[in-house]
Amino acid sequence: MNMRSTAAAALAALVLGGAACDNSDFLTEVPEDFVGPENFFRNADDALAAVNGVYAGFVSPLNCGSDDYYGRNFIMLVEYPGEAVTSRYGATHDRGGIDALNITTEHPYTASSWLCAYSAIGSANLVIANVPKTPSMDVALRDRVVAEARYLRAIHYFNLVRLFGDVPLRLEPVDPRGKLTMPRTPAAEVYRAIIADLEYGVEKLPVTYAGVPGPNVGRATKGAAHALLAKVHLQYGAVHGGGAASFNAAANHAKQVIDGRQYRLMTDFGTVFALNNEMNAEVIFAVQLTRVSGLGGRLAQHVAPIGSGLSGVQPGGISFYPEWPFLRDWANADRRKAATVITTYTHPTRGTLTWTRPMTGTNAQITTFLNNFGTPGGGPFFSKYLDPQATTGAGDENDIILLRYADVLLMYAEALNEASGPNAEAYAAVNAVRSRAGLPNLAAGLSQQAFREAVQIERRYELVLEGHTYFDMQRHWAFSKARVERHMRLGLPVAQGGEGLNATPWNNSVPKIGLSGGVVEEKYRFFPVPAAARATNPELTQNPGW
Amino acid sequence: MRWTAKLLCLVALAAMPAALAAQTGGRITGRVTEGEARPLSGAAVSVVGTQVRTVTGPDGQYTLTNVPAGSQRVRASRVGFADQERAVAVAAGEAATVNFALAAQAVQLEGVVAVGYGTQRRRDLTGSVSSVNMEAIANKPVTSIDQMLEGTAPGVQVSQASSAPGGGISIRIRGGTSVSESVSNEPLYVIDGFPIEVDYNADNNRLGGGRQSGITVPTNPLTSLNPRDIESIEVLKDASATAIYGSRAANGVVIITTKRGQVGAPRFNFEAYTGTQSVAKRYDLLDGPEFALFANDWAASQNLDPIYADPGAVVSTNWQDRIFRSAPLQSYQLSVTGGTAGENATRYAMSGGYFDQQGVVMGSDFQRMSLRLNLSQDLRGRLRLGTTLTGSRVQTNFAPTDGAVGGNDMSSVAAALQSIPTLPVRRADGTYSNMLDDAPVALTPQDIMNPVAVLENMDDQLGDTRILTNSFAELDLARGLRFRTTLGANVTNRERDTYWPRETLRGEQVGGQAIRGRNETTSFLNENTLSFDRMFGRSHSLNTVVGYTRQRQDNTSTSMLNEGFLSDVLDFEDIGSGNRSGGPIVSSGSTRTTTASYLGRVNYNLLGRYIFTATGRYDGSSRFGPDRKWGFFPSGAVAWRASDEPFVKENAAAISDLKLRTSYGRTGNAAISPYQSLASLGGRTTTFGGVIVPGYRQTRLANADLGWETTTQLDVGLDMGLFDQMITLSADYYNRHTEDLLMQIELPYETGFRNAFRNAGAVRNRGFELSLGLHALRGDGRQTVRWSNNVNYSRNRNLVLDLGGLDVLRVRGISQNFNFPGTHVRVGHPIGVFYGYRTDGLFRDSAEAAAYGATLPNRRFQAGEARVLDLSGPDGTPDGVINELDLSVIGDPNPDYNLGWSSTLGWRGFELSSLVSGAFGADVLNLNLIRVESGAPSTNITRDRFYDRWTPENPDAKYPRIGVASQSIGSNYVDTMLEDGSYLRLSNLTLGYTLPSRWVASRGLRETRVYVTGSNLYTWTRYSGYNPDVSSMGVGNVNRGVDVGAYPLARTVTIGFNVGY
Repeated sequence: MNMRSTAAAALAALVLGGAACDNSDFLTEVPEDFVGPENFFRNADDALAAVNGVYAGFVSPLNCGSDDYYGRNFIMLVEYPGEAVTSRYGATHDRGGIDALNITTEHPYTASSWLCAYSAIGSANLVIANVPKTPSMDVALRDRVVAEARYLRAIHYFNLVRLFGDVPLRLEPVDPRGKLTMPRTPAAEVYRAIIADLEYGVEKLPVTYAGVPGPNVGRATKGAAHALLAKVHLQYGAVHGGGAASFNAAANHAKQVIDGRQYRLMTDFGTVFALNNEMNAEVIFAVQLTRVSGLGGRLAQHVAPIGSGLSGVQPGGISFYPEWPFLRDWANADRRKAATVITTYTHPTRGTLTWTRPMTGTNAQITTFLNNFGTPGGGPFFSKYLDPQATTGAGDENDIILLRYADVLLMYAEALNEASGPNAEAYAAVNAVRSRAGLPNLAAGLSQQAFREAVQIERRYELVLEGHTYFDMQRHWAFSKARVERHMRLGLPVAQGGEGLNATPWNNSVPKIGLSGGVVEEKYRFFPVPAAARATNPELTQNPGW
Repeated sequence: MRWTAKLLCLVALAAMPAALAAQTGGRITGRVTEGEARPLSGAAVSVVGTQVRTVTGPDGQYTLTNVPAGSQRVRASRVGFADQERAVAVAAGEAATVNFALAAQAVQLEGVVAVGYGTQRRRDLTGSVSSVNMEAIANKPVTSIDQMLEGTAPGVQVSQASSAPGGGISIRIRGGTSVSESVSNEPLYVIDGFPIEVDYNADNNRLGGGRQSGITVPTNPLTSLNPRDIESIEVLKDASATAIYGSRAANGVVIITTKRGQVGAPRFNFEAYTGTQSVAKRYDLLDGPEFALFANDWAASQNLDPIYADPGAVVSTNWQDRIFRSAPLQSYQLSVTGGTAGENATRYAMSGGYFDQQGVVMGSDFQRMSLRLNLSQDLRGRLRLGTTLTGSRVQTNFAPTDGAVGGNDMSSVAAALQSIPTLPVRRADGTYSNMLDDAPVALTPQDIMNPVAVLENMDDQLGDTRILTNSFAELDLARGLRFRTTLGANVTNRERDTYWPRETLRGEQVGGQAIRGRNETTSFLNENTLSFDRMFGRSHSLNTVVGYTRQRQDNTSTSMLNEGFLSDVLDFEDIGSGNRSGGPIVSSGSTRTTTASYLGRVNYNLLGRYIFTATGRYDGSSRFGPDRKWGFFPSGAVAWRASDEPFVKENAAAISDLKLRTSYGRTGNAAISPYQSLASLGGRTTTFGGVIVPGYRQTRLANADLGWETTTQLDVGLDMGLFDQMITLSADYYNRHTEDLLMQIELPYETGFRNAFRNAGAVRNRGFELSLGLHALRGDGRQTVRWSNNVNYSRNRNLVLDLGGLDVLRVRGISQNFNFPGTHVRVGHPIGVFYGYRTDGLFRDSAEAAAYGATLPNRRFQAGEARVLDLSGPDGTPDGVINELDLSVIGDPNPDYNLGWSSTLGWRGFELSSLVSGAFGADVLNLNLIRVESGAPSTNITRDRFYDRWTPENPDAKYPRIGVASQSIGSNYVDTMLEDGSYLRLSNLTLGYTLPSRWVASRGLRETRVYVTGSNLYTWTRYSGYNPDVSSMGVGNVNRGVDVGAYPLARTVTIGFNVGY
């Protein structure tokens, strides 16, 4: 043996053998050009960025298209079933089918709403699980961020439980090593979780963000938590049998908002939606959107008349039209009518544009009116969500208002009435809304049912197209169903209970006629659990009737 | 599995004491000649049972040093000659002399082949390894290495992703296994010991380029290699051969070894060739006057006024002529090899090459400059140090081809096919014409850019600079025991610069678009092996290797995009001067991939007849999930050399060689992008009161179990030689079962995620390979005729067994322009089948159409329309309506079998060699037909379509009546768009003449040769397009066999010479 072989052997042993003993660090992947949960949540900035990501979950949430959820489809699911809004598509079209209450379990909008809501919930769960563990972060800020995420999670679960009834309740981030499928959780339990999230918000969210380093315009507040709690209790009480306890809780939370004096009715109804006056004193919580591609709303193109150019580059006039009977029954004296449905528009650069069509008239006039559906310039149109300066379909300025003071007043009136009949406070709340609309006070001495119906009708005119309609219908199903059925039957001959407005275009263009002879099937009180969701999770059961 | 690591760790340590045995040795010198006199250079001489070996110099001389003392057997071998062994007694410190006189023998079987981490004699192989016959290639111009593989190795299917110069190629060894477009099934390339994976995802994401977005055209590591630098190519196919490469070996392994230096005086070699290429085949389209007639006929069928008042007086532009050209290519190569002999021998090989190829489509070209140095140094006979250094620069200019036209699809070839001939290239004022503005409006012309304008103005450059180096130190520790360590680096800098001028739709919409992308990849490799090769007695021989390797690869990329340039003159060079709405797009990325592996192989030969091999690799990869970091890939093989059995030798003298072998084992495919097993958060900004703020959310779910695709392969093979190897035969049957496919699996919606990469599903490939050699005339001198032939046949049957519970995977759509769905991956069918409507001829007359039992959804069929078959309905039986229920599998892009036939005919200094290759039974979806066989003049059509159209007078026409398009119904295709892609091609025909050695020697030269070669001279096919071997949609297993605006195949004629001195 010489020195060299010894040295060589030692070297070989070192390289071959020594290296064999630790590879775990060498083989561990450390992300370099992206962040994962492991290398995130280090400080307050990360926590804020993560909760900002949850706020981004309304329009184009992860795994969803830009039309999904608040981009368009969720609003359509909620607005078309009522008697006020039509898509003017036939009953076999995706949108016309919602309008005519003629859909299947395969409807893409229900599937995407299911997926998108859970996508946003997943983002929220990540924040709720990780932010409390964030080192070196102010405890109050940590609690606030968690409260914001829980507030947003509550909104999305509330949407799910209202659309579909029982839904799987997942309050932790998905454990990829665990079981991914899960059964539906009873609605009552989902509501309990929603209420817990919101009560945490009442406790931890600030009354305002004044003085808090921002930008914070549009973040969840204590008032927003109260307002949403009012809505949640009201819905639970009416739809799931929560009874007086729920209505009292709803009234109580609404009263907290009223007494808190942070919000008030704008004097002029139209200014509530003015693009230069967003987050005005009436707005309690709104999805924040701005006129930047990818960060803006997508509803403008669906309200603007075809060919109007009022939605930037898009042709416009795609999807939201007021229904004819709804317009006919709406008193012209109601200031909200002219502010909600317009036939002329003063364009910033193009001057006054006019779409003059009859708003009352004979059958012949109606025929003419309806014949103009689908042609450039046809029909009156909604002005809510209009943004003539949007330059792309994905970038209009309108915030989507989820909660505003008028809604709270009407919820307050409804809750009081449901709990114990109309009292003076309930009247005062409704009349405040009517007075702003230029309408006289509600007739005194209404029965509980008459007052209930009056509030519902008030809500239709006040809140049309704002994402409440279907959920309002669910609370007062028999009443709302009858209204919708009447609209469906308008085209039928008088002998069959219709109004004889049997102009051909009526049948073809306004699918409120329904395929079932003008009857809203009972199963429509909830949408079906989407077939696509059931295909990926066999534990999901279906709603009755579907 | 950690215990396995520990065990190997211990094995490696335990092996060390053996290294401590001291040794001394003697020398053997001698001379190797052909017959009795002519010196043979390049013959391998080795001491049997040891790693002591060398190569003869030009004078045939060799010196073996450090030969263990005692009785040894020395073997001399050279390709084309029979091996010889001689016994010799070696004394320590002394020299013995052994001379060899080898006899010519046209047999490959006796050669030494590179296997993973070592070499083996072919006769000792238990696995399935095909060697590319380098001798046959040495004498003809080869522009790229994939040409070397085409038709020469059974079971190796070489196809063109694009026929453009420098275009991607795709190789499948024994069929494809993966069903995801992003998972590569290209083999692992091992270039001078350095493993290089083809990564489908590496640089497509951030580098723009002229091809349709999303199409996978991976970096081709072979384009940067100079084919003339290649010493040998081995294709490892079965599990026994490939398992030593473990988790990356399931797609087969191609081992490429570059030329080494040889002992002797410097030998210079200079080669030059030049040639010209032309488009081998064109579509026969209507000229201007014919088109005018067609347009008028169509107008009549639509009750319109004639479109061209005087069809004879129209412009007639042949757009194919305007974009195709005859294009030159040239190559120069200078190399020198040499070395000194002795204990401290130095050997070197250096070369420099330049290759320049213009493309047959205007504006496309390819240049390669390469430099190579192989250097090795012996130290005291026991230690060898060496290095390989290759540097290359490849510059490719792409013409936009391979794709449709419209949107982001910009194939100039498709545009040339579709542009109507009555349109001039330029208007009277010199500006470019275009269909939309200049064609008669009544034609409702397609929105197609002027292909000449695009080719003359668009710029799309790809540059690759690659440095590949691998250095080794090799130490003989004891008799037969050798330690080797290597350190290698592979550095690739890639840049892609693209400018879309205003002549393109894409550029026009945004005022010019520039994209610049940079991608740097650095890969470091350290390998340590300990090999032991020794004979024990006369009946036991052991050849083993164990090793440990680590590899790390870092990739960084940047890209920028800008639009809205003042004019097109600055190209992409001043990208900052753009004024894109919303600002330029800038992105960057960085990834790291690491691999650590333990490997081992034992080859035991009993009595020279019974050979056993066990191979395994224990692979750890960063790309695998935390719970599946390590995988073990074992294989075993047995071979029986029946021809060496005494009873065979005695009773069957005609059998000169007979070996039966079988192997079984497991390998993996680890072609996953990095970080796929980790959860990731993605940025998503949002706004508060109009102020944009950063946001993050989770974009990918972690999958700790994510791992490799597992392929289990059985191989049964036979190698046989008859009549002193005049006839040789090699046959293999294999069955490859692949499971744990990398698939996008849908997740429950409640997770908030749509899908994730999971291991699921299974695919099977079964096949048969045959290689037959006929060395009919061997020419044992230079006076007679030599003739040898080699025929390859291979067939593979691919079958999808399981898709993780799904029946069908729908693949990304084929073209935005045509809006056609992608091919299908369906359980019970091969991967990537075509799915559409079936037809059965045309309705000859109205009566036939009226009598047909099915209708279209909205109308009845008419005379002169295709009879679309009503195959099914809602209840599974024909329902009288043609709708989506009638779709079925209508074709398969996978060939039934591949053929290759190479032949060499020699007489004196003349040699005529040929290569014929072919593939049979594959269907090609010719999307070009949707326009060039359309029934409306919105684009040009073929002459055949026009003159054999249905009319009442021509009821037996091949094509429907004018005004009827029969290639598609809605967004689904019809089987008339599928064509039989079978072909047989005369790939190469070379006539060479080697100048008489006396004449050459008198001028101080060595071997000197002149030749003329034709490539792709003729293709026998019924395919109507440019090239049936086409895959416009990239090289994944899905969406294969689609022709849409593909680059045409070039026919090349080359002359060249080769001179040595």
